[in-house]
Amino acid sequence: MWNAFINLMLNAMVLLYQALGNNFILALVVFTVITRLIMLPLNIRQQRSSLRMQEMQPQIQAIQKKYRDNPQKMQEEFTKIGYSPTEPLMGCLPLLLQMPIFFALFRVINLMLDSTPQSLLALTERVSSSIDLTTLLPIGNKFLWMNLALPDPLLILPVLVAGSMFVQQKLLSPPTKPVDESKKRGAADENPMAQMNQSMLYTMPIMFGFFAMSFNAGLAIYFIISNVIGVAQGLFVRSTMASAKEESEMRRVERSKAAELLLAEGMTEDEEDAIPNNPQDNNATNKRKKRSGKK
Amino acid sequence: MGWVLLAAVWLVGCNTPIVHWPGLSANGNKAYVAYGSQVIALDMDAKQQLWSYTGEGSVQFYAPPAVRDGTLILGDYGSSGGLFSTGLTVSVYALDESGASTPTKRWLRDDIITGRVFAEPLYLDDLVIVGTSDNQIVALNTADGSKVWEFSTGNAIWSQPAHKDNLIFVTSVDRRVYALDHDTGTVVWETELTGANASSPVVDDNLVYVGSFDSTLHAFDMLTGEAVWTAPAEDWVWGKPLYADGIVYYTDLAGYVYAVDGRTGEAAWPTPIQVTGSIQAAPVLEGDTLYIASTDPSTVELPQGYITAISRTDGSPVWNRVVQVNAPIHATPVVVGNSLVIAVVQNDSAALEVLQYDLQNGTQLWSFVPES
Repeated sequence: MWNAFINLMLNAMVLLYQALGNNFILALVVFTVITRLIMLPLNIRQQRSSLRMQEMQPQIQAIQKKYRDNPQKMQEEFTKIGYSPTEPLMGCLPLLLQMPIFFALFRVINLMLDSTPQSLLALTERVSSSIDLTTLLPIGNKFLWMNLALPDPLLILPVLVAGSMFVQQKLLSPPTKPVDESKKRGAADENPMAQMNQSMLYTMPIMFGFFAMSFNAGLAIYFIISNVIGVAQGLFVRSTMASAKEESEMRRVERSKAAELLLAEGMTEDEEDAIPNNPQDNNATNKRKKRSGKK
Repeated sequence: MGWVLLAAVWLVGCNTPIVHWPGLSANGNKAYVAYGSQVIALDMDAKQQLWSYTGEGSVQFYAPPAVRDGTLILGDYGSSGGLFSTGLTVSVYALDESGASTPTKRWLRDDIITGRVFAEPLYLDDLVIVGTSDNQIVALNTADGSKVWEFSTGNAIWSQPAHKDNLIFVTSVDRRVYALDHDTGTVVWETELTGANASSPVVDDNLVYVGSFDSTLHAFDMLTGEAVWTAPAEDWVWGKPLYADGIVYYTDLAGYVYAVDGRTGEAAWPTPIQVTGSIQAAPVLEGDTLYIASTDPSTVELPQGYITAISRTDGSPVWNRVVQVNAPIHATPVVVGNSLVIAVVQNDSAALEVLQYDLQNGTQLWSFVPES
C-alpha cells in the first residue's frame, strides 16, 4: 500500500520531469505547487480551526478552572459555547493527512536524485514501463553551483530553509496582542497554545536549518519552494479571511469578557474556589482547600 | 507541530544512503569482498577468512578492490562529517597484504577525491585511475597516491575505465564515452550516445565496446572514436561486455545473453538466450562456459538471485541454481580455481554472505558469513 503510494507520486514526478524538458528544478516547483494546492482546503480548514481555538481559549480556560471538580457541568458549559474537547484533535487531522504525502515526496526526491546504481535500479523497478526512462537519464543534478544529490557546500540553502520557514511560521501564527494588553491579562502565560506557537516559531526553523545541512540540495530546495508557497498561501488566506478575522477578534474580545464575567461570578459565589494565576499550580489550590477545611 | 519534529527526525534518519552492494574481486586463490565498513580476504581453497580491514570512523566500502602483486587499491563510499555537516571525506587506499596477518597501509589519500567510489579502480603500473560519483576521473601515482591529473565528465562515473596503449577509456552516466591521454588526462576523442552508461568499456585490438542504457552495444574505433557497428538488446545493457576469441558477449536487464562477432557485430548465436530475472552483473567466462548472475526483481522487496551456466558456443544450458539465500546478485561473480564465487546481501538481515559453487555442476561448496 505504502509502496504503491510512493510509486504513484514517483511516476507523477517523472512524468512532470519529462513534460518540462528534463528540468528537475522546474518539475519540483510544479510538483510542489500541485501538492500544496491539493492540500490547500485542508490547510485552510486547519487554519480556521486554529483561529477558532485561539478565540475560545479564554472561555475554555475559565470553564476548565471553574468546573475542574465537576466534569459533567464542565461538559455542559463547553456544549453551550460550542466547543468539543476533541476539536483540537480534529484540527490536527489535516496535518496528519499531509504526513504521508510529505514522507512519500521525500522518498521520491531521494529516489530520483540519489545518483547511485542502487537507487537507479530501484527507480527502474518502480517507474511504469510506459515511461521511457532512457531518454530521461541522467536526471540533471546540476543547479547553479550545486550538485542536487549532495548537500550545498556553501550552506546558502540551509540558511534559506531556516529563513523561509521562519517567515512562513510567523505568517501562520496568530497575531500577537499589544504588549500592554497581554501584560494586563497575563494571556501569554495562561495560554499554552500561544506558548507552544511562540516556541515553535523559533525552534523549528533553526532545527530545519541545521538538518538541511545534511539534506541533499534537491530536498533543501523542495523545502524552500514549499515554504515560499506556504508564505504565498498564508498571505492569500490572510487577505481572504481578513474580514472573518475582524469578526473573530470581536468574538474573541466578547468571549474574553464573558470569561472574565464567569470568573468574577465564580469568585463572588465561592471564594474557596479561587483560581490561581497559574492554572498548573494545583498544589496552591489544594493548599487553599486544606486551609479552608481547617477553618 | 509535533509531526514536523517527527518528520525531521525521520528525514535525517532516512537521508543516510543505504549501502547494499558488495564489491567482489579475486586474485590467485583469494577472493576479496568490500562491504559495509570492512574489506575481507578469503582463502577459497582452505575455505577460511584470511584477514579483515576495517575503515576508520563511519566509512563504508562499495567498490571492488583492484589487486596486484599483494597490493589492494580501492576507494571508499565516504564518511560524512556528522549530522550537521555538508562535508564528505572520501579516501583511496593502497593496502599491502604481503607477509602480514592484517594488511598494512602503503598509502591513504583522503585529500584528493570528493565523490564516492562505486567502481573498481583501474590499476596500472604507474597510475591508478579512479572514477567518482561527482563526475571526476582522477589519476593517482601508484607509488604514493599523489594526483597526476584529473578530468571532469558531465555526470557520475559508475564503471571501471579500460586501458590500451596510451589511452584510457571512460564511460559516464552523462551518456558519453571518452578516450583520455594516459599521461595528461586530456581528451583524445569523445562521443555521445543516446543512453546513460553504467557499463565498463572493454577494448580489444582496436575496437572499444560499450554497453549502454540505449539498449545497444556499441563498437568504436579505439583511435578515432568513430562508430564501427552497433548490436541491439532488449533492454539496458548494464553489465560490462566480455570479449574472448573474437566474440563479444553482453547481457541486458531483460535477462538476455547475446554473443556477437567482435569485428562486425553480427549475431554469433542463432538466438539470444534468456535466463531467469534481470542481469545487471557482467558475464564471466571460464573454459567453454559462460556464468551469468541474475536477479528476479518481480518481488521488489525480496528480489531473488540466480546463477546460470551456458555454453559459450551456442548458449545451450549447462546448469542453473537459485541462490540458496534470499538475496539479489548485483556484484559480478569471480572465478577462483575451479569454483565460482558470488557475494550477496541477504534481503532479511542485510548481512553479507559469500557463496562458492563448483564450476562444473553448480554444487555449493562453501558459504561464509563474515562477522560484522
